[in-house]
Amino acid sequence: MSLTRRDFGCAVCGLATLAYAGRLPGQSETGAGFVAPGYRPAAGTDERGIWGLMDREESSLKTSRFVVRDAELNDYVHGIVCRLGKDYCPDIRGYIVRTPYFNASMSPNGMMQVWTGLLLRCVDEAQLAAILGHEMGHFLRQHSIQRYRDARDKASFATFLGMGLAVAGAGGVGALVDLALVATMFAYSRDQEREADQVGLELMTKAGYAPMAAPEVWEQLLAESKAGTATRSSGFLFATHPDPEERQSTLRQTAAKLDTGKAERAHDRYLQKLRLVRQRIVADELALRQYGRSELVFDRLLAQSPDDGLLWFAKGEVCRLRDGEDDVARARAAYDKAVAAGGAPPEIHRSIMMIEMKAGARDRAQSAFDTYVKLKPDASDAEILRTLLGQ
Amino acid sequence: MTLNGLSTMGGWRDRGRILLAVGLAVLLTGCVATVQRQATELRREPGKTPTIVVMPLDVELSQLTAGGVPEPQSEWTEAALKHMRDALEIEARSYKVKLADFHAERGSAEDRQTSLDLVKLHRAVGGAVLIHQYLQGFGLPSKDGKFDWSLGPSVATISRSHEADYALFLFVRDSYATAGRVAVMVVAALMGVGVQGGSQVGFASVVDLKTGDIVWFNRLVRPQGDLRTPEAAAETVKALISDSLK
Amino acid sequence: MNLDTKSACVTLLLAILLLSGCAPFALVNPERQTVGDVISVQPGMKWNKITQHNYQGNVEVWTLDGAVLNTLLFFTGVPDGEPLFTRRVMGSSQEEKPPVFKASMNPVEIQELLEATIARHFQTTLAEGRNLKPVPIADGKGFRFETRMVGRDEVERSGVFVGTIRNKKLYGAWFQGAKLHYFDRYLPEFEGIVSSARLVGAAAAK
Repeated sequence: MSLTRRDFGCAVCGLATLAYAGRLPGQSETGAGFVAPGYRPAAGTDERGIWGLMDREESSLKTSRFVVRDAELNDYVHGIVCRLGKDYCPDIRGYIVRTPYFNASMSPNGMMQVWTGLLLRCVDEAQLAAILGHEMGHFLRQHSIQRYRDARDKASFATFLGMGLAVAGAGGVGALVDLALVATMFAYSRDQEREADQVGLELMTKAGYAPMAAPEVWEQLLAESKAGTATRSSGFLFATHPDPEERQSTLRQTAAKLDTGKAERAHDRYLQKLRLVRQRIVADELALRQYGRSELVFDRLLAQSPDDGLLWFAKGEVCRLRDGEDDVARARAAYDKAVAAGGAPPEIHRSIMMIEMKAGARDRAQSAFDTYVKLKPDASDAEILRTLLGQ
Repeated sequence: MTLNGLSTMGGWRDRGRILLAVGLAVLLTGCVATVQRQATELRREPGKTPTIVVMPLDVELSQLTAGGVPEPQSEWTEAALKHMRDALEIEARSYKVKLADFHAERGSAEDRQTSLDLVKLHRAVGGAVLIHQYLQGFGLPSKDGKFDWSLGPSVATISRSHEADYALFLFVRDSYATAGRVAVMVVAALMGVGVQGGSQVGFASVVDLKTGDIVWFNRLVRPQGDLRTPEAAAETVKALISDSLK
Repeated sequence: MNLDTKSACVTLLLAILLLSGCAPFALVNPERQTVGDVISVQPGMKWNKITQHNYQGNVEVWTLDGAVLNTLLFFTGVPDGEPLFTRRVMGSSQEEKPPVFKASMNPVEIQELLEATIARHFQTTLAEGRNLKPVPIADGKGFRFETRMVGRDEVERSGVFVGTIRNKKLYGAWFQGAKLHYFDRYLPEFEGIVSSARLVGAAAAK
């Protein structure tokens, strides 16, 4: 969906046309051919060089601290990939990278990355499948190599292409590329994005997912980008995907045609599978301190899951950290809902203590502190909190 | 793109890679001796041959196309790794030391993580050495010209799991072309892939696994040099490691 | 944006200079001295003051082995409404506003603030503070906590932050170094600097 630094490497990757001439095992409804399952580039070709580079990058990715290794979660994502891509299941290796922005990508060697900011923002399994399907669309149609071939011979581009290769290996795992300009240079063309959308929708629908999930993701992103000041992430995202409104409306029209109204969303299963990482990825979002945007995300997720204690806690934290007018009251209301719903971490009581102290409600602050140390007897900050109460 | 490539770095903290490349690529030097050492010879106990573990060779070869695009050459790189390893073996024999390959999977889970962390740390330290020991005006006054860089005592993990006395690290970025563009060369080296301008940049370091100290360090920056054939690779290896195995 | 190679060259060289922490390091001798006109300390060994760095704000930066390996950041009076520090990252379109210090903050909130500042400026999700404790600092009440972070270079770094709020400003010091060797080796030196610290000048005014 969006371009990461690995896609940059991919964007400059060369890949030959389909390995098995005359045999097209997979094909889009539009008749366009897919890369063959199990494809490997021929020796001595430029794409062989790129694959080698991607393979070496993947071995660094494998040992990166930023990769989430939770087995159940990884199996789950891989399962969705296999459901979408059947024959291509053994060719694709997914990595969940702990970066708090919306992004997913695929390299021509089959390495797929999903950032945790994306996992946070998807409301159910169908939305995640929509994105994975889209990325697989780029992979199956070998868009990276087309892009590279288009760009390679342009003289003015040459200097920067080298850096593109370099960027593929640089910045560390999951780094967010900043400049919209660069993104534009290495972005897939509009036709390619449309094609990936088309393929993604086909894969999703064939796999039994609700196709309307695809335009929803874009609508959510658009709403979010309007909520706050421009961000690195959205600036980058929309630079690589121009006219998001147009794409979203095209997606909506196509999806509506495919929609049977019966297909799967798997909302509960999605949350269940994410449960071990959710607290971390919520914390990562809060650490960005982009209150308007975060509040919008959590409000949207709460609309789908009104009894989710962790989400109410998150909403409360946004208010507490923002510390604007009326935020103490808003935080208190959210924390109350979180405590009632259950599922928030013990730190919620520390947060309650802090806002009650701000509000001058000594007794409530004391009571929250007592609950905190009861739930977390080994809390290393108990002493300092006691000092604050004693002041 | 230049700006962007640089800005993807987490700045201060990604200086490891930046320093590495800046140190490698910026040819501001001149008078600084390329070989730096804390000890002049390897420790040799009577009756025992020193064992040196060869850390994963950090090598990339690329070719500049007509348009100036460095295309990574996987097969060249893979061949180069083999040639270099063979050349190291020959050097080792002539200096009477034993080489062992690094196996990341050895030891307990904690050991494995420590070994990996040491490799990452070495990259950062290597970068710091290249900047602060080799670039004019970038020296650290507190060091007073002394060469004291170390990976610290956790190297005992590698010493244990490989029964080795020293570790050898090699880093090379090598490209084959005639066009030279300084800015692009620097950025590409920054990223660690392909160095434009048809040149060879690299460094070698020997770490004492008793103390973690870097006892020998050499920087290599030159317009010639080849890693694609066994003979040429042997020459590069000699230039890199010089007499460090003495 | 201009794709011209020439301007790219110039910008690049500029970037190298900026990002590499820049040439000048000034020697810091092991004698009593004042940092930022407000924090008086006595180091036990020679340090290097980084005179051109890309941290912006009320900070002074020292290092022993180069900033990638260890840094000592002095906070020389962060005023209400300002971030702890910001960093000039080349070419970054940072329109997002950074989180700021408020004089009404308690130590837990300061710990959260440093975590968020680290996450932002080193582009990492792996940044946390722990073991927050009250401690005496510079003849007054203060607090201290440990930090742990993994940067984009995959190097894990340990740290200790000590600080105090006086006259609505934050004064403190944050020592950070590679977890392997570079932090442990110099932690005692940092502790020595902290115990020698006094607030002077504008910081000591009542």
